[in-house]
Amino acid sequence: MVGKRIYLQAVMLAAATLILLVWFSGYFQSERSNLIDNQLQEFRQNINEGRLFATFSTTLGNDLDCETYEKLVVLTKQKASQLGRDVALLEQSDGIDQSFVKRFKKEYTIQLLESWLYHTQFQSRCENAPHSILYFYTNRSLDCVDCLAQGRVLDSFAENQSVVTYAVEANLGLDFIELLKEKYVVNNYPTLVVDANHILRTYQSESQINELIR
Amino acid sequence: MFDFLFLAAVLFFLFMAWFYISLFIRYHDQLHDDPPVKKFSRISFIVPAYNEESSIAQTIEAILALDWPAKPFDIIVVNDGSKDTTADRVKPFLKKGVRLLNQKNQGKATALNNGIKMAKYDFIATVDADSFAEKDALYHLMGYFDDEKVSCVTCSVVPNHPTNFLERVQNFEYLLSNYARKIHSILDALYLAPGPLTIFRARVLRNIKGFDPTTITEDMDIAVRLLSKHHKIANSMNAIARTNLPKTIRSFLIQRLRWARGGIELTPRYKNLLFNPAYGHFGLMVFPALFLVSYIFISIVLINQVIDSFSGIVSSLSLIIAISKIGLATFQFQMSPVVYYLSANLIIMAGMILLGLFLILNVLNIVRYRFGFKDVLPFVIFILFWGPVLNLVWFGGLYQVIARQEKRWR
Repeated sequence: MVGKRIYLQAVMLAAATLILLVWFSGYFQSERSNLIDNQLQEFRQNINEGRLFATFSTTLGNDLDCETYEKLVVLTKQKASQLGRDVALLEQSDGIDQSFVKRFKKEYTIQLLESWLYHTQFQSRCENAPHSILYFYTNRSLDCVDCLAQGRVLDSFAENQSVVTYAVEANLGLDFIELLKEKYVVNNYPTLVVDANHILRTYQSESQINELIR
Repeated sequence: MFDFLFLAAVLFFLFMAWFYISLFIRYHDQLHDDPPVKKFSRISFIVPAYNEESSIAQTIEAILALDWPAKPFDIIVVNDGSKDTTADRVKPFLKKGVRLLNQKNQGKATALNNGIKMAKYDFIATVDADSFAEKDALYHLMGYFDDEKVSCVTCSVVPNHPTNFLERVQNFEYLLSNYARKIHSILDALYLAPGPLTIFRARVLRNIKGFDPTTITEDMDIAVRLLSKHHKIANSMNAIARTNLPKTIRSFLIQRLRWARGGIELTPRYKNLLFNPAYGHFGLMVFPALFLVSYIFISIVLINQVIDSFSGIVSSLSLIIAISKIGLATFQFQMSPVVYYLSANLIIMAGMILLGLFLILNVLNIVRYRFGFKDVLPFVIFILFWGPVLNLVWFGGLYQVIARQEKRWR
């Protein structure tokens, strides 16, 4: 005869399995979080170093030389590219609405924009500065069916030393992004700002971008 | 709120999986034990047939070939207004004692009831006209009737030589159902008297006024009605009846929509059994869980997947647009550490699938299934998609009930 004990046994095993699965999920989530955190710290160090150089130049009147600027831009470009990809994966795994994902994304974007500002300074002072592309996109795919294609096109410039891309999620709710959107009149996506003054408001192919930066 | 419902659904499925695994562990060595036959009773066979010209002769031959000392059998074929040559195919068997009753097309339940009226013996076996009992089936089934409380004994239903892909996928479902039927019979909660071969005590069948012609799943209705009157339904895993499966998606959908609709219509009809401890494991667990809660929870899991898929579809569209614009060759796929890909959703779904897989593989072992190379893909499809497919069909059945569509037996 099958008694009621079997129900209790099944409930306990089910609860234990669920706890185990939730624990595994939490474990992998915290691992992802740690990985991103470590990368962000390295990225932050680079930016802080740049800030130190900038403070040094304004305080002691020594202009940064072009070589230092270049070093800073190249270093942040490498870090930003990997970090950007991993943050995108984090969004896919844990969802864009998770608070810790939003926090990482905002922090990453702030660092990225600071790096873009250094790049802009670099361009104004040195002739050999690489081109910069500030790319406004949105994660809401329905608002921007071309963003994936545009992102991939810009990815293809990763190895190109004469271009640095700064991809900015436009709906992060950061005041500084709103300021930039106002300045460049960003109403639709993708929008690209090349070298801080040419604004392109539609999808641009690789050859179109090459044409522009030639 | 939805996250909570999703977790509740996951917990429910884990509970169901562990419930059946626990029963499996406890009874796995007894699943193939049938009581020995002490008395060889005479048996009437009723074969309702509608447009079964391709299989009816083989079905009758299979009945005539059954090993059983108390012969001849009383075989009644009820031709339910077939438009083909079913009746002609039966005629050669008339000289062997087979009786043919022709009726206007009134459905399977009426055909069975008309057969019951003609049946001569104390035990009545119902056999679908596209099913073929194996020779030793009666030896496995009839011993259960020594227990006076048993009013019905069911068998294992095995697909008749599954060849195409759809049949191979269904094959796994049938194998699992055979195990489930056995477990449900142990729980006194077996809610199906399968058409391919079920034997009833004639007295009981007549007392409950036979099959209900207003239902489209008379096999389920009769079983639940017997349970509602506290009769026992036994099952033998060793007794095998082979049946032809739907070979096309259309015929499969028609059959499954009928089953789904029948199950839905049955629930309010027997609502007094739901969560009723007087009906044991059936009232407390099997009826509510399998007829009601599972569909609600599968729906929640499905909605969760659809929400995920919607963003997935939109992303895919973007991907297609992206590929069309820049070409596949320019895509660079760079891997990040594997931990980035292990989302909570993936882990929970994987956990549920693994637990289900554990149960299914054990069941396949118990039913001594020989896994072939051709089974690999149907098995994967079965594991991943069968639940959602049946749930969508269930919604189709629900729609038919709500829209009060005309009932069709075929």
